[in-house]
Amino acid sequence: MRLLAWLKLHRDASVALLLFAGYLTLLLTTADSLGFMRDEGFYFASARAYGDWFALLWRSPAEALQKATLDRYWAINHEHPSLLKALFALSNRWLSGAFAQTSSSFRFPAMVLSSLAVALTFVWGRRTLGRGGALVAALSFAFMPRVFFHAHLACFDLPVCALWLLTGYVYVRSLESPRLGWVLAAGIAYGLFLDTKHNSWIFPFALVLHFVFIRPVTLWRELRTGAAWWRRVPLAWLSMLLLGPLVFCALWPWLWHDTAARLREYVQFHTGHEYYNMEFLGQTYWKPPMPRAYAWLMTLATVPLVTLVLGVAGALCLRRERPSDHVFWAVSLLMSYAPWLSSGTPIFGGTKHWMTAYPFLCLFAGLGFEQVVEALRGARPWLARPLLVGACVLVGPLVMTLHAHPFGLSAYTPLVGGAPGAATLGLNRTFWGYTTQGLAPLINQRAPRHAVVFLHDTAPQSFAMFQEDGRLRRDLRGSLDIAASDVALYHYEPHMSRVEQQIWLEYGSVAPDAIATFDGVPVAWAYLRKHP
Amino acid sequence: MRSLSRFLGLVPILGLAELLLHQCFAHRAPEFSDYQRLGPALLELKRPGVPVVVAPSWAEPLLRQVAPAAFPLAELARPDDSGFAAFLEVSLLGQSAPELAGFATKQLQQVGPFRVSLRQNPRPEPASFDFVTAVETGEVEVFLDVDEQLSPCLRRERTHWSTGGLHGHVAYPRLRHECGGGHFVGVTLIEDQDYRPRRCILVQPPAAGALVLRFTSVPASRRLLGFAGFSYFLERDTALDEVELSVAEAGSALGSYRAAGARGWSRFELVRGANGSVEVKLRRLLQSASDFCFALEAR
Repeated sequence: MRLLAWLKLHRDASVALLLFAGYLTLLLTTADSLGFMRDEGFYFASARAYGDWFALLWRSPAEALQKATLDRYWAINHEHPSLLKALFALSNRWLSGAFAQTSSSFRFPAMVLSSLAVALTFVWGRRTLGRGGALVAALSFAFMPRVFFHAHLACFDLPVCALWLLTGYVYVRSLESPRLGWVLAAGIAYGLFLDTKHNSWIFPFALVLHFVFIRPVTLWRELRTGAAWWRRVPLAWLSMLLLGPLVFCALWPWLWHDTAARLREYVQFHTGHEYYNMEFLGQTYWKPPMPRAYAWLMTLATVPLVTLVLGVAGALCLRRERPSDHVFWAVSLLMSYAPWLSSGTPIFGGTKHWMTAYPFLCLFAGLGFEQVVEALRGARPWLARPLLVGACVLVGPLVMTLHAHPFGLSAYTPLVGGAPGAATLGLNRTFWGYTTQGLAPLINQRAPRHAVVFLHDTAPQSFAMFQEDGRLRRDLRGSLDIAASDVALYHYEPHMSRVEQQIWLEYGSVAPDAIATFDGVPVAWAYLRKHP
Repeated sequence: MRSLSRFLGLVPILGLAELLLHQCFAHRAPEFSDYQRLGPALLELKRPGVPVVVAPSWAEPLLRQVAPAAFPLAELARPDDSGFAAFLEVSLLGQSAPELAGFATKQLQQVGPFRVSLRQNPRPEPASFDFVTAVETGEVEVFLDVDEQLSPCLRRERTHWSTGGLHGHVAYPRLRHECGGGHFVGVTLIEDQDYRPRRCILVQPPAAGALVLRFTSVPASRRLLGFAGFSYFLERDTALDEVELSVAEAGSALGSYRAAGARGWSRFELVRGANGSVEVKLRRLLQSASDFCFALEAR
């Protein structure tokens, strides 16, 4: 029996490892064709600065730890926590030789965490699901077109998904294990989560809801009778309360001095974040009230319908075993969307800001998958083969995801008519200026030697990475001045149309010389100046 | 429970149907080669004064690429649609332009996956004089008015447009009337509340005094139709009146219009009286007012 149990455990671990390695390999082999987002450019720059500080710390620790030195290296991009950028820096320093392109060394830690999220979805799923259900959960998450897109990036959105999942998993384990290890691990995981992105601020609300919903009757009775309900508060809360902030501050050198003031500045930056423009149903939103339907409709428009239906089916057919896990999945899902119940929450990030909900949606989809197999077993036994059903529900998401690459932000599901239907409906076609990659052939072939390229929405640091990676010619110079340029890029967003109109006047032409399209829909285009 | 089971049994079919639909939508839009074939046909059908409208509008850049001559700037950035007797609509994927709803279809031609149709405006109001073109061609005198003293602004040509990028100023034209103190008048483009381009007369009224544009060759007509606004992206948060435009003809005031950025590209009308030289006077109402732009037509 022991051997069988060990084998079972081992087989699941093997599947998890395979999922991790397979997804990481897929990300690495497809990263070369994906352009660089604006934010990646800023994170490349900050990672280089942090990397220099690590080198100084190695050479001269006393100097590195002085306030002035810390401030010099860590002030850059201090509106975001340091963990991921520090990992980008270390990966670039230690592993750059392992990759064909410099950018991959920066992106690698985020890819590792994204792959970890896929594997962890399977591992958590296995606690309540069969192997088939857990596999469907993990692969449904891996093959959401937008998830696959963000999983490549040297950004924080998929890593924060992984950290929510990891912290939640460790927390749930700590509730049922008498071992102190899980409790301490919950605190450390939450510290890493805090140091990844501010989605972590919502997590405690999920914990409270979980605490309330898991034994509502007992808690109500205790509250009414004045019994010591607080004795039921999990030890992991204390661990997260104490260890979490400690780990967070310890790993972010910017906070080592003027801690309170800098923390306040960090919180204020995100609670009072600027509203960037975002197109939704033909209207550009740049200030509140934001449309309350945004998050829900964008989820419908970008997540494969079969995954959504399985998720809903799973949520409606909860089982009795391990209710704590299922309640945690539900509250995590709801809390990830909660900020968009307010019309004051910015919507500029497209779908990326609530992606922390997706692993939990997929865990429910795994549950739904098992319900589907069960239902077929009763009605059409010859069809009730998990492999066959699994293939039916995964082949669509897989094909859609691979097809969307490298235009992930332009990808929409058939529910809205794909990319052409979404463009007609006035849903955002692209943002972040990364589609410059699609214009690289024109720029490389037709730009004059030492030409100046107007970058539009591509950050100069991202343009530099295009050149460092050899994707764009190194003799070119990036510029934010249309008048000084020989080649002008335009990344389509309605509110930026004024940029294209300026190009028309400056270049004396309304005819683009190259257009990058996705499924026939223009997303970015370029103009070449015709010299007389 | 039985119906739920039946529904769940259909989920695998849903998965396959979604894949099928995805394949269908992914390959539904025309290929670039289709646009290339359309280009010459479109140029053959295109007549001056008949703007091309693309439905859905997202395909327009592809049309501009293969047939740039079908999109003269004056038509592409027209002040509105009412002045045109007809439009050439290029539609794909079964779409039609909402702005042409109610316009009768006169000719229809299928070119590959595109339907090209001539749409007739049921009530066209053609312009007999376009003030924007007049500024471009030099049929205007421009003055700086300080305490009723008029000093002429000189027409100059620079080598380059000056462009401000996304957050910067609108494109400052090469050809402009310079009035001193950095103020000038010329023709440029601004984007309206739908972020569509509008060709207009750019004016930078001084902090004190006004700018005066005098047009002496405006033919007689019933009224003047005007549009005014600012770059919507830059000024959309400004609800206060920023600039006042007043028009006089043959020395008699026809009326005035006050523009605010938040109103976007707005229309106004003035009834004409005795025929004579038309003077447009622009005065700054808000110190922070930026580049103001207007279009005017005699109709």
